[in-house]
Amino acid sequence: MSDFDIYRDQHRFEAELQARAEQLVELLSRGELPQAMELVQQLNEMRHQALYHEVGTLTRAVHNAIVGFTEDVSSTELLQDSKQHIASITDASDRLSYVIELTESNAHKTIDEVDEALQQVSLIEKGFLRRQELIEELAALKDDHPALQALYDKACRYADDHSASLASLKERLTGILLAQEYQDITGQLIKRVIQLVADIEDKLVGLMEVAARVNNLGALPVAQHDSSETETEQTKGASEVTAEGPQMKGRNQGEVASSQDDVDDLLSSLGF
Amino acid sequence: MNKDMKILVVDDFSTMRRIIKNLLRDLGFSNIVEADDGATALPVLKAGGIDFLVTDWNMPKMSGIDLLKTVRADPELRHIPILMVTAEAKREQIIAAAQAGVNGYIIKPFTAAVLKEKIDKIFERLQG
Repeated sequence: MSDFDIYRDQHRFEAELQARAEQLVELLSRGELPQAMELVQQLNEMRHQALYHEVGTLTRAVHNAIVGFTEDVSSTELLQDSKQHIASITDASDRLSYVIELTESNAHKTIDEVDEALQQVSLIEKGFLRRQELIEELAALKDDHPALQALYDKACRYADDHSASLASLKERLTGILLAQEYQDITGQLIKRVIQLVADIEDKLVGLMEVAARVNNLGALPVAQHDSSETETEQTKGASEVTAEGPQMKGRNQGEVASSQDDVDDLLSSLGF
Repeated sequence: MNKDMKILVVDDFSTMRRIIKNLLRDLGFSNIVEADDGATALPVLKAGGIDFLVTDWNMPKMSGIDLLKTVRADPELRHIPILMVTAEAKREQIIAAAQAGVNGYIIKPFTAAVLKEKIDKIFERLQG
C-alpha cells in the first residue's frame, strides 16, 4: 500500500466520522435515542475497522520490507560476482546467514594470506641468519688471508640489520590476523538479528490472526445493516476478510506460518 | 609450562578457532586440536590426553559454561585447566564462570598479549 493510499483512507475515515457526528447531533436533538445509539455503535465499529486496517497495513509493510531487503541487496553492484548465489536466496534471514558465510570465507582468505606472508618472513629471517654465518666465517678467514679484508669490509657494509623491521612486520601480520575476530562478533550479532526478524514477523502474523478473529465477531452485524451509500470500499474489503476467517483458521490450525509463502498467503488472505 | 601439551580449542566460528590456533602456535604451542561446540568437545576430552582447554561461551547444542560444568563434574577430567575466550562480558556471567571453576577469562575482542598473559598466569598458579 502506497503512502497516498494510506492518506486517502485516513482522509475518508475522518470525513465519514464528521458526517456521522453531525447525524448524531441531529438525532439527539430530535430525541431519537435508539437510532442515536445505533449510530454510536456504527462509529465504534468504524474505529475498530480503521485500527484493524492499520495493523494489517503495518504487518504487510514490515513483511514487504523483510522480503524487499533481499531484493534490494541483490541489485547492488557490490555483490555482482555473487549474483548467482543471491538469486537462490529467498528471504531476509537467508540473506543475513549469507553475510555470515561471506565474512567467514573472506576472513579465512585473509588468514590464508597472513599465514603465507608469515612463512615468507621466516624464510627471509633464515636468509639473514645464513648471511650472518657467512660473514662470521669470512671474519675468521681474513685473519689468515689479509687479501680478504676488503671483501669482508664490503660484506659488512651490505649486511644491514633488518631484524627490527622483520619483528615489526610479524607483529603487524599478527595484528591483521587478530583483526579477523570481528567475524565472530559480527556473526554472533547477525545471528541474533536473524532471530529477531523471525520473532517480529511471527508475532505480527499472530496479531493479525487475533485481529481477524475479533473482526469476525464484531464486524459482520454492522456490515449487514449498514446499507447507506457512505459505506466505503475499505469496509467492504474488510468484511470479505472476516468471511474468509474460519476457512483460514482451519488451514492454519495448530501450525505456525513459517515459510515466506505461508506468510504471504496469510497476509493476502487477510486482505493486506 | 610444557610447550608440547595438547590443547583443545572449542569455538563455533572456524575463524576464531584459527586465530586462537595461530596465536597459540606463535607462543610455541603446536599440539592443538579443535571442536566446534561443547557436544563435539566432550568425546575428544573423554578420549584423554588433553592438557588444556580453551573454550568460547556462546555455542549451539552445548555452551561453554555447560562444558565447563561437565568437565569439573567428571573425576577423569576435572583437573584440566580451562580458559574461556568469549564475547559474553556481563558481570554475572564472569562470576558464574568463576564459580563453575574456570581458570582464566578473556573477553573478545582480545589481543595476543592478553592471551599470553592469561596462559602464563594459569600455569604459574598451577605450578605454584
